[in-house]
Amino acid sequence: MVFFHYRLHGMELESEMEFPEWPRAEPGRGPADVVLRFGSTPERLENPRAQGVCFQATPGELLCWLPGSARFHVIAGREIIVEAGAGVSTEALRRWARSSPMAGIMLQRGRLPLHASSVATSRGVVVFAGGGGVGKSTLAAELGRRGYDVLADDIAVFEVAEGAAIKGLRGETGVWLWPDAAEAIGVGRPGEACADLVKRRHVFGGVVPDGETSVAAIYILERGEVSAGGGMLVRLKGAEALAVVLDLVYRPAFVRGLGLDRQVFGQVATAVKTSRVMRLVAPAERLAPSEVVDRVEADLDL
Amino acid sequence: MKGITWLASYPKSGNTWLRVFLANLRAGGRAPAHINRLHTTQFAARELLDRTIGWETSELGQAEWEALRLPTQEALAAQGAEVPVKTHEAFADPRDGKPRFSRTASRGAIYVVRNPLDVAVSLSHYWGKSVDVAIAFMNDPRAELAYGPNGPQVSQLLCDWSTHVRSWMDGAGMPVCVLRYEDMLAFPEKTFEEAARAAGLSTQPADVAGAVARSGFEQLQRQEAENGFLERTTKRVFFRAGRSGEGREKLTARQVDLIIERHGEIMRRFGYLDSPGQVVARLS
Repeated sequence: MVFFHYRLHGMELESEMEFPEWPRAEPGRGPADVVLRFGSTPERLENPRAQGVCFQATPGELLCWLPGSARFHVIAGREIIVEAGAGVSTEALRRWARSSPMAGIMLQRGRLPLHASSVATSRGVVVFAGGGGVGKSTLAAELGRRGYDVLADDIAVFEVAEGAAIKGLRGETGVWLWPDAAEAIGVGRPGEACADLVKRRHVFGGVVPDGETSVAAIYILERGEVSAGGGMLVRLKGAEALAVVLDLVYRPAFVRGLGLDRQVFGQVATAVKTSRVMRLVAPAERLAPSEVVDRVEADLDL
Repeated sequence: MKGITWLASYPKSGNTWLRVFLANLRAGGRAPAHINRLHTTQFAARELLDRTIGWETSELGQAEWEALRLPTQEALAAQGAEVPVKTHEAFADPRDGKPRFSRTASRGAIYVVRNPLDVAVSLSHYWGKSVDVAIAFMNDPRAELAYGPNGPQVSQLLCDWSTHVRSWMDGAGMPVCVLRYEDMLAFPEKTFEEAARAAGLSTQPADVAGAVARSGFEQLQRQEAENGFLERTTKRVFFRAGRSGEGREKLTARQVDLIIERHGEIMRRFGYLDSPGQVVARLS
């Protein structure tokens, strides 16, 4: 049986499935931190603490599934078991494995996954967080196009030590962009095509440091209107910042189900205490990504 | 009775105004509810769906998402929150007749219908497209609202205007309170009282009258001018005119004929056409 070896989000991962998006690593001398393998999964968890349409969570276990397609059992921060339905493409399996199951294993391992993209700059890691479709990847890609190092896309993972600045961890290589977003930032060269959807991966050749950097600012992207007399960027502090960032943990229901409320609350509290949290309002008429990033660069004095 | 109360309508037919009224009725008080804080769940909103399902809907294929529609609604209903849920979708897909809304998860619906002549004008303004484009959309049996996989909403099947109306009025299989937009304008307290009853809220005359007063169109326009309207999906003003009759004033005879030819039966049913097929100038 062939295993592929990767290092991402600060862990060594051994996988039966190949992930071109993940940074390769040499096999370590000892066991990997996490193993992803094919196998059977339970139909349901016993006594889940949280559940949704396609997931159940209980301390130590997360079960996610797509009916008729695939099931993922995430166990104790050590193992992701994938059970694939008949005829499901490898690309689809990879796409799904990289989202909720990956977030689950990160939570179980004591990391903080946010629904965000992150970029390393001379001022520290810049985080763009927010709901789906709000522009996180586009802004990260625009910074990548300008020569900055994109650390993570869609799920950004952080190491949080009490009393210390939170650190952004390197995740997948590249940024997945829809065609219109790629066009908006002028990325002309074709990336990899995903067979099932039209998002394409774009890799930028930014500076490649060690990969662990303190977070300078977390920009919470929101759709909205800049009110008369108001600005696009508004500093959030205290309870408001805490509430907003907590809501962007990937995913609050997983946190509840895994029994990690206290852990995650503490991590987010540290994050908002040690980094700037800014609300970045994206007007309905959508400024060009370059204009928004200009303002971010100015805000950070880059 | 528990379950979701659907606030359903074809686009640009008064759904937001209805939601503003319900928000004002629920809140009570003296200050008008704000259009950006209506606390209405929008079923097509990806953020809501992603959290409920546990996967990003943008990562799901259409077939995968369709298989999860009804279980998602049932999960929302099971959460027990009594918040009405907005939708612009037709109740069923006419190709297979399958309901796109779970009857077991639903308490009922409030459906707002508006004269399609006025809907065409309103749509053309909102989209910045010609009235002919709006009419073609309203006549399209497969019409859908689609914002793309990176948009904030999943795609929504509307069908043509008549099919949309008929699907909720005749095919929902749940209690449906049908309101005419024109009655909301002409007889607001009586009409909104029906909405309040259907939503399980207070129908005390003073409460309804107060909520109606706080939901006036000028108020909505003022709020949009000052703070924008977050639910807007185009650059154009959302609360533009707030009246009936623009279709009769602005559509050409050909455009009116195109609409009547396709939607005359439903227009007669709602009094928008008289028996000989003439557009009714003033509704009774």
